[in-house]
Amino acid sequence: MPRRPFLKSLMTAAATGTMIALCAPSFASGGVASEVRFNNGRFEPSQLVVPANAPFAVRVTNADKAAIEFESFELHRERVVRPGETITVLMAPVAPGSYKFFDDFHREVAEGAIVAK
Amino acid sequence: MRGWPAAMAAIVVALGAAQFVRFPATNPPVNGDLTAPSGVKDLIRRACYDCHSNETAWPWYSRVAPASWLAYRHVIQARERLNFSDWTDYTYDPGTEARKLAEMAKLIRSGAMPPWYYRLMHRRARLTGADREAVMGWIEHEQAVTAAKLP
Repeated sequence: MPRRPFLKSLMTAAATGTMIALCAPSFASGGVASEVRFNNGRFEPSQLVVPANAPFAVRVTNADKAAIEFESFELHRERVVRPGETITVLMAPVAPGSYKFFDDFHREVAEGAIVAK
Repeated sequence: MRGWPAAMAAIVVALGAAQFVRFPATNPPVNGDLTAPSGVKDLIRRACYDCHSNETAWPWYSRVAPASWLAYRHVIQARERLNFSDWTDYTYDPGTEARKLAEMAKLIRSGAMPPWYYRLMHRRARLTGADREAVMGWIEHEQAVTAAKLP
């Protein structure tokens, strides 16, 4: 593969990454980042309410002893969260409705839902 | 021996009745298709798209029960796990894109994808060693690009 397009892609990605990094705090401070905590084999809270038709973020903290996989088929998101780690999952605007999420590593755990209003 | 004709008749009736239980073998709209160099995209398209996209070429047996039930269930589950027709949605969250790429790499490298039973019936889905290397090269390139986007 030619080197220049690769470098160009990397530079574009770095610029995108910087933009995302700059935007992430605004999700946290602008009131559109919701928080969910996984502890003792369950998501708390099990339901998050977010604004419909607007981008939002979900901060997922894994306070349990084993890794989890925060997954939503309907929202097309899949992220591994190691024990003690907090991640930010960026979500594109969604239509009003209820969207399930679950821990794909432990499917027996109760599901949660993101409700867009 | 007298039971055989009755058993055969029961099977025929059951298969006939099964044809009335139908699932919607349809293709939803493509929201944001995968972008990749044409050679790699062609490989992914012919090896993966029947199950992992909204552009499924439903085979003839997907219209005959009970094979149709299995095919429908397989495609729905495959689309949930990875859908190239929703790829741009994955890229909105670089962590999700990285996860999808990592899983693709693992399954293609190991030969677990496409599944053997699918390769058995679909010759065009078979990937040669060179095909796998080409796809893996693209995945590794995308992984480097995505890693730079991660906070």
